[in-house]
Amino acid sequence: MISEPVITCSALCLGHFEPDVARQREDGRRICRGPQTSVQGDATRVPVWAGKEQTDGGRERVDGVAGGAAPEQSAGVTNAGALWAQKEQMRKLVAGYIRESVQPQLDRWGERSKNLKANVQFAAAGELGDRKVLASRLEKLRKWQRRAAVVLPTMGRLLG
Amino acid sequence: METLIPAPDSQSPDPDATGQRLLGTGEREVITIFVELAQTLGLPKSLGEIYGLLYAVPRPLAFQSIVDLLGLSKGSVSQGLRFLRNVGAVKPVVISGDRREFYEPETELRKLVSGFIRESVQPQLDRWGERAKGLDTGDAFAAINNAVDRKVVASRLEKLRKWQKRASVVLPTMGKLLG
Repeated sequence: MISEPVITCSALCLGHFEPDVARQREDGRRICRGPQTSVQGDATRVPVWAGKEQTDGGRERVDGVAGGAAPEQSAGVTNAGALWAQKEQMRKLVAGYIRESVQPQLDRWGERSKNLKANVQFAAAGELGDRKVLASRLEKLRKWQRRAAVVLPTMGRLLG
Repeated sequence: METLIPAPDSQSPDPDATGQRLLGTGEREVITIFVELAQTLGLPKSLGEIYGLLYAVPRPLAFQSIVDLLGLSKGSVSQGLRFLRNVGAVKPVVISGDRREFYEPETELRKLVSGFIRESVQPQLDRWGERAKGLDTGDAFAAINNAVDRKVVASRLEKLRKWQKRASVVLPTMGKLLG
């Protein structure tokens, strides 16, 4: 028995990708964006349809539709929710990948390239011509990093 | 002149005793940047090492110098150079008076990104598109006999096709923006 009701998504839920899809509002109501979800915690599993609010007591309410409405009555809401959820899921996938995998790499890249100096740390930069080539490449490396830091999040939004 | 980095002792089997010790901290840092980048892109570490070395050294390097300086096997370097040449990240260079083949990095981001997308990402997107197109809830998912489940699977397959189409448009655009 879990004392605090926790929203989990059923296997059929298209909206579920990250746990924070189900978020708690200040007034204690929980909203899950998925078209089919359930609430666990008081030993009950209550189906919830997209966009509906789930109170801690298990009652549903959305757009004036009373709790316990038949799925057919909510079909329009469900379809809209499914479309919304599809788009949201793609956005979350891409944004999550960029945030968790690409962005830390870009940050490290930025730190490393910022500290590089062409004239002191490179064994191969003995002659003036070589130092110039190297300095130009290091500047390019910093420029790439800055550009990637702008373009990749934009790409994430475009893909979403 | 091949490189300012002294030629390593080819008799020694220990890479630390040969090439790697001859790299400065700057070269090592640049190599690390490209190794991490390669790993983020799901590419072998050796590709990042080879490209990073060529990028950090101002003059073209011969095959054997790459092997010695990185302490990688000839097979790894050969395979890595082939991939990097295919995507246009590395160019072969001829140096007069030397019969060996030398390599230098492509440093135009637009060419690097478009080559990578063309050679590595696009074929994958095409395969993805083919597979997704061939999938049908009627045939491939015959085991699912519940109407609701079939609807969900059909919706997910449609989503897969949509993602592929969107990625096919966005990724080349991204290449242009990055360049």
